[in-house]
Amino acid sequence: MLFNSWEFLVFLLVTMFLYYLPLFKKFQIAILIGASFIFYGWFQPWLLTLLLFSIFINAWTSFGVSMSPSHRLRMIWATAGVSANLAVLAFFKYSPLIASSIYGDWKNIDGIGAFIMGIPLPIGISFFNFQGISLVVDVFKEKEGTPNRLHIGSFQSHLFNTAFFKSFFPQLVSGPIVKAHDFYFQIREKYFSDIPWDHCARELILGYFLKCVVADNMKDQTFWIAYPYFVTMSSWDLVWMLFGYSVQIFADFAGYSLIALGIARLFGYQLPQNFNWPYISTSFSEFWRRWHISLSSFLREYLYIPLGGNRHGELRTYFNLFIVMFLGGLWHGAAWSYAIWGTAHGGALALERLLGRKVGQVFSFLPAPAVRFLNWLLVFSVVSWAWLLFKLPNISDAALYMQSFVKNGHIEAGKSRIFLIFLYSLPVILLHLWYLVQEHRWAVCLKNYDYLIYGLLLFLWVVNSGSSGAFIYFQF
Amino acid sequence: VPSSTFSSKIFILKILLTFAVLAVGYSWLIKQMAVPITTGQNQYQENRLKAENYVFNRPPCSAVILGSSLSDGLKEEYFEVPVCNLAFGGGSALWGGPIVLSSLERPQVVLIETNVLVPVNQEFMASLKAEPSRSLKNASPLLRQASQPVTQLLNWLRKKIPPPVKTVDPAQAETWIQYYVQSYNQFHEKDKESFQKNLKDMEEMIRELTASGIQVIFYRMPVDPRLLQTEKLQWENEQWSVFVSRSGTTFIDLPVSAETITKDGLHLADPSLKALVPILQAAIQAKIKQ
Repeated sequence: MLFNSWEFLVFLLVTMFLYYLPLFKKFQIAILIGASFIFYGWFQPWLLTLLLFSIFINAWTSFGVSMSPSHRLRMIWATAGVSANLAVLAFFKYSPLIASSIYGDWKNIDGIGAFIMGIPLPIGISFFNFQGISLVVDVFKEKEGTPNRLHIGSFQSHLFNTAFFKSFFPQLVSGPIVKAHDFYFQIREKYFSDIPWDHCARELILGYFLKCVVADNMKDQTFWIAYPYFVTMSSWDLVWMLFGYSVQIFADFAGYSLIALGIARLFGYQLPQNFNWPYISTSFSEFWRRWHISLSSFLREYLYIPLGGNRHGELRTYFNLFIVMFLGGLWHGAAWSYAIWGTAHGGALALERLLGRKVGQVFSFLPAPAVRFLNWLLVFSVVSWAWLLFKLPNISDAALYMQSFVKNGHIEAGKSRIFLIFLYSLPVILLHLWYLVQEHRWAVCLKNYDYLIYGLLLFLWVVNSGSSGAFIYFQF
Repeated sequence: VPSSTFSSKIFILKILLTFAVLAVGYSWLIKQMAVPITTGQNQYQENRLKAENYVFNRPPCSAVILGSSLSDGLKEEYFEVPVCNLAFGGGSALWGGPIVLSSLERPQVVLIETNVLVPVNQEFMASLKAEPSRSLKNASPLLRQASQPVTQLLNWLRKKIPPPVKTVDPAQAETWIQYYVQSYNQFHEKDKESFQKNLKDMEEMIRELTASGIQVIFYRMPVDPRLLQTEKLQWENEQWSVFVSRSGTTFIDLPVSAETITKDGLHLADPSLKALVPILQAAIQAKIKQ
């Protein structure tokens, strides 16, 4: 079920009604689990079997960790849990990539190769598997003495809570990736009177505006970043479309995350913030602290730090950054282009760490704002060009796009397209700028009238939405 | 932090009030300005503009054109008889048929372009037919594509600053022709199967159209002769010939002349499109007289 559909609105209202009905207050979690299963199985009910399997495996192994008396046993259970999650992910997500790397073009293969290539990618698998890993690791850490907030009782109650944690519908298919220690302690009875309506309204209106007005309209402008359409387009069109795609991917995913946050809040749960205006970043490390925060913090906590982080010398730190970003890239999709995208970011992070200070000294003659601007320009340009690998997972197409950009300077630009890309980018640009100035005195005064802005966003959502498209991150 | 306080509810009320004021004010403004909507923000919206105009404004049409982007440029104003164009870029004749069949007022004739057969796009159909969207759009023009502020702004700007007439760049056209020749010569069994399946849907659609008293004319748009030699078009045209002769209805193979100019081997430039109008118009009139 999609957040931007009529059936979802009905589903949400019915679920909320049942959830807060005093008669059913003892069954609040059961209602949310049931609703989440309906939400997930709406288009493909068979997907529920995989979700149920994943819930059971994670509940079982994490319970095993919790009940084990020795470190060695806990380690075995935790390894089994993490491996099971990775195996499920590898089978469903990466088998086709491996098969295509071995067999080549999918149109020319049959037999086992065709079977492997035909394995469907269950929606949300990357997200709920990472949450499963978080559960197993967090229980392990808790048992090893790290202060934590998980309280595991009987297996039945743990299974029940795990089912809720993994399937909670606002974050089930595209995150934010919730860590077990950030969620379990919130599981308790909720009251209708506790709903923070103004927070919910802000998150939902801004989220739907970003998704339906900005991303869905931009999608029809950036549609042409596809072979062979871009080959005969002007360099200006190509660069503007790429800029538009940077805006689109942000608006699409940040919009989804805000909607997820707002809906979760309606049920009394707080999910982690996933975006913090990433396009104002003046360094790559800052970008990754602002973009898809729940993934970067997951990778930091469950991969980078266990690998040694920056505690084993410079060389090891670069290697760790590289490997984390490579795997982070591959997490996004089963194509080598995603791995290259991640590795490029890993390389940028390593270079920044290696050369950042020295380059800063070279440009020390410039005033600080000019240096900040140049840093911002570099980060935004590299990030935007790297998105090309998201839009064109075929690497040769991405290379041809860049070649066309260089070659097509003589072709006349499509003024309407550029105008529309600029127009739909404007809200995202203004929102980023607003973030920068929001602490100024005049901005604080203006905040008293923010209902006017939310009223305008609501109006534009109703009258100027684009054709509804699936969320980009659904494919991951 | 629970904020279900009085101020929190007032905040939402203020948002709703702002929304209401904007909705009323904007409705009044677009009525006053009455900007003619001649273009959409993109191909997909242009399709929706056409379809919504047909479904909700119910213009009187003796004939309806069903086709793909090849017929998209056959503008209604080129014809002397009232014609509605439901040819959709990125779509096919299969898209327009259900729209005609679900409308209360039926045309006397439909012209069906024999070209690619892209199956009906469910999302596109849902945007027109699914409830409650259909009833809401029917009740309030504000919710239709033509009322979108950005569409209004774009058309207002085009009215103020008309865009220059686009000329065909021969080099670009040649790039496209080469691309089509190459890709149309890589024609797989799977493509044939899907064409046959879509042809069955077309057969069903024709049956329903004729059962409702609508007469059918098939026509083939001219394309660059080099493309006609490709494996795909040769095979598809053979299939169409069999299909059309079996249906026993009129078929017009629109001619390619020395003056025919295509933008990319497939899509005709505006003057070449206009040149085809008299042929189609004569066929429509002949059918109406029958």
